[in-house]
Amino acid sequence: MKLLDLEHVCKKFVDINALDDLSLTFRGGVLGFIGPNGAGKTTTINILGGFIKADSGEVEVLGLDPWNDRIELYKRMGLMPDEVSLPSGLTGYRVLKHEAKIHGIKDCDKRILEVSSLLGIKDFLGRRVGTYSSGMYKRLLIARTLLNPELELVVLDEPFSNIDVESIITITKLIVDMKREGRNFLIASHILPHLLPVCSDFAFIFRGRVVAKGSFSELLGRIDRFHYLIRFEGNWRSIIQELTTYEEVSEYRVDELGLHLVTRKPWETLSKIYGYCVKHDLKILEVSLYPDPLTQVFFKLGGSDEN
Amino acid sequence: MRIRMTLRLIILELEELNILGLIILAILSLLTFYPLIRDGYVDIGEPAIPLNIISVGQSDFTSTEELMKWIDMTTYINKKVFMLYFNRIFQPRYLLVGEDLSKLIPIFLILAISSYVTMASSNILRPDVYKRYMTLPISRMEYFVGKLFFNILFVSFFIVSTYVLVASLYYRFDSSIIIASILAIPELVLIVALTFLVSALVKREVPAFILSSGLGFLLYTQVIELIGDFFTLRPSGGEGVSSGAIYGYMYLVGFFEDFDSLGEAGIIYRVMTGSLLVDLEKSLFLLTLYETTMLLISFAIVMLSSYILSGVEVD
Repeated sequence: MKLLDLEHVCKKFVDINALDDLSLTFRGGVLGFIGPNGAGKTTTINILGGFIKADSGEVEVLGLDPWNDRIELYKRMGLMPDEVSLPSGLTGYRVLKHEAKIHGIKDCDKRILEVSSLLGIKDFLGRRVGTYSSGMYKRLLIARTLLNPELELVVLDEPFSNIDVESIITITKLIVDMKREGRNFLIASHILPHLLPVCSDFAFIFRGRVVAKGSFSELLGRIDRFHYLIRFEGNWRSIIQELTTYEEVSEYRVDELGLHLVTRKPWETLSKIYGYCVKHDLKILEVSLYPDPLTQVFFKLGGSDEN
Repeated sequence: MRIRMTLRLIILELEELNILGLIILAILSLLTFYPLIRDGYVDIGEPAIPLNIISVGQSDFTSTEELMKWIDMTTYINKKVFMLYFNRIFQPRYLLVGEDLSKLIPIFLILAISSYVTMASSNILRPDVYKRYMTLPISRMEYFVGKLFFNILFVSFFIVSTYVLVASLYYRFDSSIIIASILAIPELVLIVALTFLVSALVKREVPAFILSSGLGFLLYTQVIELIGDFFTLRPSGGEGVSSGAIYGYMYLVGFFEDFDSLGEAGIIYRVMTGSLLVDLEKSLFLLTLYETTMLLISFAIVMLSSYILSGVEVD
């Protein structure tokens, strides 16, 4: 069964085409929905959440029309929009309690305890929402989204933005654990490195249209220029001379981080560099795709990989 | 639409009151009622009983003492009626008419309603608030009906409570104050419901405030008066029996505690209305009809408003 099925969806705001013939299908797992600001991520989520209607095209979420079947939809789908204002005067517990009752959850307190423990906010539930840090607030928003234990699909819009490292780790761990239990997520974000550990598939949206979708390895196949950052220990700068002999390396530069290079054949280049290091007794501290591979795919698809 | 879910939303809303709006509402309501009740109590009734009425009563009494006692009581009730005459703030003749500036005081009430309604309604379609509710298993209709009913009832009860408070402090707390207040609720509800709809649709606060104030004044000076007139039966040529919702109101407020029978009240009632021939029973019937109609109109406006707002897209 398709969890999400958007076919040729268009949405226009005054004279701006927010969505331009967008098609997206999602059958399960954790889908990263990636795009720059203004690409149409939030508009897409607003449509599948039933906040706005598509001008044209077909929209089905869990087999339902989000605009007309919203009660049935929200019994099966949890959605965290990009901006939600919770009453600052209420405690986190009161917010969750009210909403658990609206969901018709029988043992509210038990469920609130479960969800808040997963998100590490159990000890803060007695505090007023207005006193929460942005990370705590985001975790509370996710907690209210996950209150219903019967969810078939969870949609999170920018769960990693404006939060601290502890919150990022907590949220990441939660999604990974729930993924193992068979829960399905759609996560929209423009902070790509955080999506890598949690998503099984990725969909890239640019200018209101999904331009690529697939698994990480499938998307990686779209890159023909790999940007690497290599950090060494000791006197390693002699390797620069060596690099000039590598045909597949098109660019390289040195800065305080280490050696940056761009290659068409990553495994060949790395093998040569390892060989050189062994021969000259150099230690490699770190080899990483820099920026991260998703960002490289992002730039490639967005047509700005030269930058 | 599920009633239980709507009630749950109303309870949720209760915990998220707009405190600033509430403070403004309280201050402006007090400004409205304080001089109104004070002037109503002080200015009326010295002697405030037309001589023709005294002469009507004179024939019923055998001694001067009895007559004086009757005049005293009539004067007292006369004062009381004006003091408790809550609905008179909705009478156009007390607004922008007359030399006394205090007649402009009811303007504060309209501004109080507009300011609260503007603040509360700006929330209703605000994306961050709307999306909070709309990510729960509730319908748009339930959301808007819950929000509208809560705000309309809250504003109305808050205003009449302020009235009850001021009237009780000036006079004493009794059933007539409560009656005066309850009978004014349908008119308040009508004003709040319509101004809320306009305000919610306009979205931006300053234009919303200006428009809802304007609409409030229009309702206050024209529509409510028109509905009141509709429920009034007047004789042609000044003869015959007259009756109307407003007479029924005055009777209920002024005489509830002081007279047991309509006959005894009738004489003083004529003082109030300035009419010698008034059908009290018909007036009470028309009052009931008037109040019910106002409530039904308000209810219809709430449902229509919710229906209109349900079609609005919020991104």
